[in-house]
Amino acid sequence: MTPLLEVQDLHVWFEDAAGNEIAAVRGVDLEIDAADRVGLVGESGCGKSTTILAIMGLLPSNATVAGRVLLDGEEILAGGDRTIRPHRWRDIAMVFQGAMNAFNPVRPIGVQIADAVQIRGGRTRKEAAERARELLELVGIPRERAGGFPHQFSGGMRQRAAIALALACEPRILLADEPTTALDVMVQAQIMLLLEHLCSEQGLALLLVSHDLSLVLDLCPRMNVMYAGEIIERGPSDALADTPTHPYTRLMFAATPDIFDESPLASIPGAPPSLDREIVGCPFQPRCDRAFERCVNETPVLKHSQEEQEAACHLNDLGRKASPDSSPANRTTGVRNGAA
Amino acid sequence: MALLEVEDLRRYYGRGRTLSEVVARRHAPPVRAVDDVSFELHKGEMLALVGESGCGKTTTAQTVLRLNSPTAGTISFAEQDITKLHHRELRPLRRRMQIVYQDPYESLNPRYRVWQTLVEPLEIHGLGGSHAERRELALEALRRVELQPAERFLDRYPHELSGGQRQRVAIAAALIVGPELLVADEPVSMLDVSVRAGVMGLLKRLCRDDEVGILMITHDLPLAAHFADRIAVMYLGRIVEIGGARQVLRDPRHPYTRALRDVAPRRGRERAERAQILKGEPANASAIPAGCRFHPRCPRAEDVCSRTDVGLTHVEGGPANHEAACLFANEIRND
Repeated sequence: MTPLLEVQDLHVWFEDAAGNEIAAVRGVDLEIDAADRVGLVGESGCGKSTTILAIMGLLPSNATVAGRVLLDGEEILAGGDRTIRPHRWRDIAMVFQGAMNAFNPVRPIGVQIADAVQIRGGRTRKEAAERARELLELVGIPRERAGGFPHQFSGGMRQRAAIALALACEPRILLADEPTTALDVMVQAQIMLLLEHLCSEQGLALLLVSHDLSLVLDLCPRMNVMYAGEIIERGPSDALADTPTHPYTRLMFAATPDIFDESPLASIPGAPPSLDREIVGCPFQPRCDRAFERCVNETPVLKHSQEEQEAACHLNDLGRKASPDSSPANRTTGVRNGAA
Repeated sequence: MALLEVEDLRRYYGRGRTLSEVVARRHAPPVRAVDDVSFELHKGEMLALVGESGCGKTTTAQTVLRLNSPTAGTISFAEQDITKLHHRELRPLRRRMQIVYQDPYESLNPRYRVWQTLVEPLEIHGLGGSHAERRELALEALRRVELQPAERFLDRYPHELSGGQRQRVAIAAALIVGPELLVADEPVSMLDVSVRAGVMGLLKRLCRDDEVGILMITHDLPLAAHFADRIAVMYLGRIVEIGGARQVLRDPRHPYTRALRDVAPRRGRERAERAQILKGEPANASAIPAGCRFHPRCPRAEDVCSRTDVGLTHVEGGPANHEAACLFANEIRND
């Protein structure tokens, strides 16, 4: 069966002011079906936001994109804006980081959503206004508030309204880029519940981009971990948490604090490689606590590691585990002094 | 004797009247950012002030450092009442109480090399004497924040450093003058997850090895659970629960603490069933609800809660330092 959205071997290069080429995304594959909730996690600069901007066709002009994006099996990336535009917002919509601050401050929220509803066409102004009220209700804002201005809404309500805005053209896929970063934990929990509800009730497909592993673990049954522009591990979220097959995944989970786990937190020494030159060997090798000779010279590819998981790590070829045993001491193997 | 003693601290801000208040000829009630807060901080201890945005945690910290003047209450630092000291009298104390800000991308002067950032506080406080001595102190400070080899970092600019390294420089600039009290305002929230534990571990060692008292401000309850000795949970300008970090989270006695704990994303698979997610958002600090200020959002509020404003009291069956401000604190335990 053809997946709803498929990304194949996506590459994105940026050219900086000095004329250097930066390979921000290096061969990413993704698949999302209706009602799926898929997570894309990684640290700043790993290419996760660039990936979804490329899917939306919203990259700046200094970016070069290669690869395929298939919607219902139809390639939409090759023709550039001409082929993406008919699908943008109508089939694939996006909630930007800080979207709650993107409303026009001098127009009522409901009117701004109605504007977006009319883009799809086929509705009178009055019908569009009614649809806007329905959308607000869908995200948990009373319809009477449609006439309110952005400053009369709290941060959490503005973020809900931003989600309603993204849903205005009835998309089938929602790409959410750190949708709760600026919000408080209680509001974050409310928004996560809303997204879960939209997927299960409305059949919306969600790609959640976040730096927060535990958030993705909570909301998305499947996750992809990105590092230096590549997906280095993917599979069922619980499996990645319990039995990671890439040391980076293991260390990232071990670096994420948990209220009820008192074992010490890991810290990963060093920093991700710079992407303006070719990476020889495994991109994580300089920071890896399990690296060996082969990692220095040979770049691992993403392949089956165990059960439903895939990872790009040579350890899996040797039948060695990314974590040698499950004792808590391993949590701290990445902790080393030195510059963070 | 505690390093820092804060009693009944209040910080109100006046504000202009809204249009409806002008029309109705009403006064504008002040914003009660900090509204009767008391706590102590000991040498070598890390106390986390946890709460959502707008709960008054940052105002509390600024007022404690007298970067802000309290509306009422007293602040004692190292057995000296500093509540009403003039800023000139505060100067000699400034060396002893320092602050590290949230965003190392903004708190460091982008045109200063690392050594300039480090030497400036020494010059301000007249420490270190000669240039060579100050350079030596700067190297020592870099070593203490584990930026090694220290010599290599002296001449760098902030843009040449990673986020974690910048925050370490900011910490070095605070500790170079030898403070006894350090306020850390969301010290790692701008940093990547993989380097957070490193920076927090550094702060923790400052507590342990150098006996610095650290007041950490954070919205991140799991982070506080891992590193703080004690946690104080704030809601709408007041501490609603305080106690040993693990104790408060294992056995929360205030419904707000419990709700915060239960919605925190979990790492392990055994994460709890989706807890009660509180509806709405905190009230405005200029219109704090009567009675218990949490009662409009509280899942177990009763009529009496809208009439009684209960203060922090020791919880039954808990350690001596565990206090909660809830009429039902002793029943919540048996839920």
